[in-house]
Amino acid sequence: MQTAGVAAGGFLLAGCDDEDPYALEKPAVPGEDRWYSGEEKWVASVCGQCPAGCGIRVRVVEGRAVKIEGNPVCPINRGGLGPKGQAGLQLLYHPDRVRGPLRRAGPRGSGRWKPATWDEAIAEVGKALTELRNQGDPRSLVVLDGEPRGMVPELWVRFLDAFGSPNHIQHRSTTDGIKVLAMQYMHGVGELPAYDWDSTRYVLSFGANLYESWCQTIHFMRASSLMRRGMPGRRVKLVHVAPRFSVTSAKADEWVAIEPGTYGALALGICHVLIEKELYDKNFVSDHTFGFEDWTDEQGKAHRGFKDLVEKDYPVSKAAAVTGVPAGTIERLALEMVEHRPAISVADGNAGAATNGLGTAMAIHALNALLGNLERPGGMLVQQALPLKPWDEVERDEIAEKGHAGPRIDGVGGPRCPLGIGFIQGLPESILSEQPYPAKALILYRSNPVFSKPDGRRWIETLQKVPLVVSCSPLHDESTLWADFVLPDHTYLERWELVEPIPSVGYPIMGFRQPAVVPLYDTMATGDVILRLAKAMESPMSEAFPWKDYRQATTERLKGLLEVENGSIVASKMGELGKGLTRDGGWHAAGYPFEQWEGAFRTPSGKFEFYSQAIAGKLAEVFPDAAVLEAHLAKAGITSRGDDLCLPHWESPRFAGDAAEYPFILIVYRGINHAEGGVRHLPWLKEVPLDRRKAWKDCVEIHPDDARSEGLREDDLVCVESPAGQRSLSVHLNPGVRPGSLAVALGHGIWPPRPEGKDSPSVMSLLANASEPLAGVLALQGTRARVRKV
Amino acid sequence: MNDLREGSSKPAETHRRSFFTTLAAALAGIFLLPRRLFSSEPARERLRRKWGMVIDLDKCTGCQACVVACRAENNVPVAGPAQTQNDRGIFWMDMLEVSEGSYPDLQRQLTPIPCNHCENAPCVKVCPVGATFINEEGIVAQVWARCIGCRYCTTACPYSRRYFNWQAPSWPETMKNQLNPDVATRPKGVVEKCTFCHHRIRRAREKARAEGRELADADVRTLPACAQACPAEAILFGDLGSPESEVSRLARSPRAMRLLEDLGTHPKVVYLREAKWKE
Repeated sequence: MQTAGVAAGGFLLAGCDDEDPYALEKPAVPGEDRWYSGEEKWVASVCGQCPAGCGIRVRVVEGRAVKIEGNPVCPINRGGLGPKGQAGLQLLYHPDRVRGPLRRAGPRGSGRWKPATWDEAIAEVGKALTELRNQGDPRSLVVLDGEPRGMVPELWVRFLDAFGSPNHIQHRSTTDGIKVLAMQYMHGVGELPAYDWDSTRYVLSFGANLYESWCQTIHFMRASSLMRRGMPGRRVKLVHVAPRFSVTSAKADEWVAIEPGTYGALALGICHVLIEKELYDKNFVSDHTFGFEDWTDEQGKAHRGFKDLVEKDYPVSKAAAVTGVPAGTIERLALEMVEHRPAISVADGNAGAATNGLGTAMAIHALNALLGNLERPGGMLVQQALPLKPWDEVERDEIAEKGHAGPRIDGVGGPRCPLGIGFIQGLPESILSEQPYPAKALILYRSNPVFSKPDGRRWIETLQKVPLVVSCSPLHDESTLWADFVLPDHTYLERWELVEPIPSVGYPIMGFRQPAVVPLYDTMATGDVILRLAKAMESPMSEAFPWKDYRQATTERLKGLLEVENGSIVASKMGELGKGLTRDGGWHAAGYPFEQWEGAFRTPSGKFEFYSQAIAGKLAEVFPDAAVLEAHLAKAGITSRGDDLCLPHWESPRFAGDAAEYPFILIVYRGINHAEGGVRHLPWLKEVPLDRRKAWKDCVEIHPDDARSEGLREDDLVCVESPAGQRSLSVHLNPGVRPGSLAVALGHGIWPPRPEGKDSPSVMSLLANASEPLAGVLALQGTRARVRKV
Repeated sequence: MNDLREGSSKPAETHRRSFFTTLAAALAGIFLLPRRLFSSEPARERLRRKWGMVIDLDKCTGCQACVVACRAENNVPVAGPAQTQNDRGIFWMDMLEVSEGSYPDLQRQLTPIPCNHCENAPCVKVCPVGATFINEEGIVAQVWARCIGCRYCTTACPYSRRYFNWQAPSWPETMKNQLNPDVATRPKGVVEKCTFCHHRIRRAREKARAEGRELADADVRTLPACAQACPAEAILFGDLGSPESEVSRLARSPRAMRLLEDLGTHPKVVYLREAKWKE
């Protein structure tokens, strides 16, 4: 197997002037000019099937991409590649791809389209957006951006910055929001944590489906191989706590069954053991944390410390009663973690997302601090920023300033979502009621809210209410159906891009995506669409984007890498850097600088905060009147008050639906072959549920005893009903489902989408649109349901 | 018919269909011809080879990357909703799931199973036309063109590792682009199975010969598509005929076992038992 193509990948130096920021030319698509019979090339690139950013190598034969392999030089996956990554070819060659820009030719939702040229489509959308600005109403533009980080999100932010809209709305509040928020409020870093799996000795997973679908699945699998068999005589113990017996449960060294929604109580019970037996890392707690002991603020007001809270409120007996985990097990887990340090406790954005999500994520995070494993080998790390050269700041004009002065349309920072970072699930309410203001244009980038958010039908109404909807989807998905324009994106195997993977190892990693094939259709990278839209608009939009194209805009930022001395590619000239990037498909720094306490915690105290002063500050800002806060908490059913709200704590989870009417708790999970649904159109992934007969079927899993009492048998067709919706699913008897609950995998659904019928557009629409009352994170585990045989 | 945009790859695209047909015929031909004509290693050395695989169930995470990678590499057709219900999906590399116990005392074993390439292969014995045979490197090979579709072998295989093509393989027109030109597609009515990615072995051997050396352990360690994809590095490939190879060393591990060993089939796929953490 050769890497000939990579070397030939053509980097042209625009002269040898190293000062020219654009010296790095776009790599040519291999064989763009011609292919010889039987000619084969390998292209190093980055997978785009999930945000993990695994390095890949694509085998291209005579212009056709025929196989994707993992790239051994990428520190995330080190040569391995998961099933979704393997199936990327089926996305590239999917028959349902949008083959060029489209303009709606019938009523919305009719599926009738008229082809447009790019110039026409961009001009029309640009004109509509310019009008919005000229009307002095720039904030009525909303961008739904499903990519958590990277260049395109940054370009959207820049676009909206210049345009004058604060409404760059991402999906975090319905995915991994609670983990990000726990990091933000306790660490001062609003990003997912990274972990040093290679040196850890014990892993306690609170519902994190480490082997199936969480943030960095393939990375963890590679690490787990080393954790189990890589060190003679030493095996890292993996304990998985979850209500449902999943693949991760089966593969873990120990599985602990737990009541749904009670992870926080278990974490605090374990903290109780550590504190009571004085087994926590006292040096770390005294040197690097804030709010452990009771303290007094500058005004002389006494505050409660974490220690007092745990000692008084969370005795092991209470934790055992709440979680259903025996007290002996809780004590044993605590002792094992202490004896096998460094030990990591991992929260999960999906499993922990209940109405008590933020307190839960904070409790699990606090356990890491008690064990003193933050910023240390074998512990939990903060993802370091990529040393990319920042773009020049946007100069906002008067219209933009005015637009940014107002609130966000989703209500973040207001009483609806005082502590959150986004509230996408609240958008239908905002847009339909025109509160705080109407939305007049909506752009969907990697976002399919009709399918992937609760209230799918309401989202359809919402999209219909907005006068201009533009979708950048490469496929005709459920939301694109209701758009006015489709400006189809390239797939990740056709475009040039710098990729910022979600946190994995902690040190900076950048993926370098290069086109493996010539774009199949008349599609365009969304980065270019943003630039062209801006250029089609009047000043100051066009000035904010001085670059020729997306490639040039991002290339400029690569200059920052030239200054790093210990990266995987050390280069002093852009040309050298480019050669390295085309060869490796990415760049990464040498390693993580452990125990650099200076600047490790970006909180008000500069330390890890058990007591989050940021939460206290935000609550005081949003609710200046204590009585209003009291009313808000009472209305939301929150029992904690005062300092407890700023500390890791546990509230009883609330479930939508009456227990008598809806006897089952609905547990939703992400499986490895579907995740959240962005890949459900790929036949290879449709055919690999563990029970092969379930291929192509959407199932509801039920415990055999419950099935018997409901009179259900395997493969029966049932209607699962919740207070929010209903959906026809096939019964799968699974003894691993906790009695009294139903388990449904997210991301399943029919392809191509069928808008008719009574069924909710997706499993997500079975979920009640209930959120964590303060953090605004969707309570994925917060709905009751019943089954009815049909 | 061909959906590719105007461009350079066009000339190759226009006669893709004929290209595949020719290729299929050529590959079938290569399979039939005496191997030594094409081989780069001296015959003596090939005879010594006994390709085998070690699958570490402790490392395996049940992710099925191997399953999808195999289907991609070997042009295994997608069965579709109707055929799947009849259990007619084809998985050269499959994931066997066995669960037992009752909540919360549960166990679940996930076992990736390729063809075991038995030294004493029941499928070979029953084939009435010699379509399947054990080649000189120990691979249980199948000549698609010679198979008459009697399915004796699918019945005889105790591991159910052989699949009958109940329908002609089909792909949406655009998805034909992803087909691997190194592997022939199989017509309706023949039995197909894992080849240990024989085409990759041949490539590696040619490369080694070009470099003037013998195939080394490192060349083949993760050679088959399943092994290369495995995110947990649970699948290793190598020469069980050489006692020093990594697979031979692992096959001597106390955790080593083979499936249904008591049948006397002598599988060349060795499993390493799952372990649990002990204090």
